[in-house]
Amino acid sequence: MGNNSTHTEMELVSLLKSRDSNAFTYLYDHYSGALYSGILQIVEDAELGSDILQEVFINIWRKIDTYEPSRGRLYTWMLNIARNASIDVLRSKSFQNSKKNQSIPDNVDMLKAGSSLPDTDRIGIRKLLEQLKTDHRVLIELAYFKGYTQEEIAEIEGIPLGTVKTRIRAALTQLRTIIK
Amino acid sequence: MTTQEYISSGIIESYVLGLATEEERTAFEKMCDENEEVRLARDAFELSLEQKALQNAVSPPPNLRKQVLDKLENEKQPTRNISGKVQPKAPVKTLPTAVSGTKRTSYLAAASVTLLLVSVALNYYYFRQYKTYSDKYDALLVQNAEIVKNDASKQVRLDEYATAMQHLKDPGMAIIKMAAKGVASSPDPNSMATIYWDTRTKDVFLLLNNMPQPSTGKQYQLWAIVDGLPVDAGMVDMSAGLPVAEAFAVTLEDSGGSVNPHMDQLCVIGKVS
Repeated sequence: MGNNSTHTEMELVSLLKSRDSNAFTYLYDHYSGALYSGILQIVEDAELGSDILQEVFINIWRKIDTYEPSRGRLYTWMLNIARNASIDVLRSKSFQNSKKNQSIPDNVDMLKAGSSLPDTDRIGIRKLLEQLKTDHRVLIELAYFKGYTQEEIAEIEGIPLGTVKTRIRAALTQLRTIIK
Repeated sequence: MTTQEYISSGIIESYVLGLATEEERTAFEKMCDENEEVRLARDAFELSLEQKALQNAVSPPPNLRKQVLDKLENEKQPTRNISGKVQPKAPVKTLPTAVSGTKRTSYLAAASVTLLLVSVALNYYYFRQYKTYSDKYDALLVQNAEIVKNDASKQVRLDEYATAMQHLKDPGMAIIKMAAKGVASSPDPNSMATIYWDTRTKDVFLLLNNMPQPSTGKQYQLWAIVDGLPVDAGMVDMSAGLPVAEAFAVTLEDSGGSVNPHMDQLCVIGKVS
């Protein structure tokens, strides 16, 4: 099965690199949900998430030539584009300001109403995080979902850089066993 | 470190999830090229991650699909031009910036014109104010000069009155009231004049309290009666020293005065007490 899917992916990538419209339609139909979920886990805003998803697909189109199949799966490559785009938005001034301008009660109501926003704590890597120890979970939260470097995390958490590295590695190893 | 230890060190997850540093990435990629086992472990993690993600997929808003695919179609256009070169996206973006730049310039132009108009209006207003106050100032200067002049002349008159007052208050000043009572020839029985006679300096001052206006060519003349005879004491408005007198009288004489009084023209008379 693994062999078969790799072959399919190779075909898909080759069509994508020739900017085949049908291949991109397939890509959207197949992966938009997974990528959207990944984006929402970081920005936690459905409308913003849609904007980012659109930007991600445009970037996939533009950058597909730089994708190197030997370095990883297509999805992994796309997920990283999506994560980077989400963290960029998360760290942008306008997003920070809009967060500040939102009063807390409004925010709670919005989350309760939750019409278009799925409960992001229950999906993807966030769900897996629940099974980690608290001090590990916090570090993954900061590193993966907030995009902080290990040096920044050491400063934020007030723990030595070496400890941050060790704990993140330990948490990641655990994550793999959970995923399997 | 054995391959197995390396695989379970967390580097694979770190690399796949994009948490590895540039150094770690380079080292890991080298490892994957050299070690089939590591590469397979990476593939396995990626695959499980992908499958989890597909299971946990969240459908984006349905209208987004057409929007995204349309955008991608638009992206296609530049790649199919004759030169075959990919047109940079930047020029498309510069247009709105240029427009907004022009917009900003025109805003600035509008703002400066407005400011200029306001400035001109204020200048005119302040010039008018200046003119008004300047004129008022000039008027005040003229008025002030006039007041100073008036004041000087009043001062002179005041000095005169003060001097007169000094004489009147002087205890050595004899006051002789001259009345028309019992003077048949007087044109007005209410006529009255007063003599102030300084007994030391012998100066004579005449005050016409109530005398009718003499007819043209006529003038009142003051006489001092000395030893029963009238002595010319001068025309009214003229005074001369008088050493001694028993009485004073005023007659109406032709202008220029007479050597002897026309007693039939006697107007008022008063005895020195």
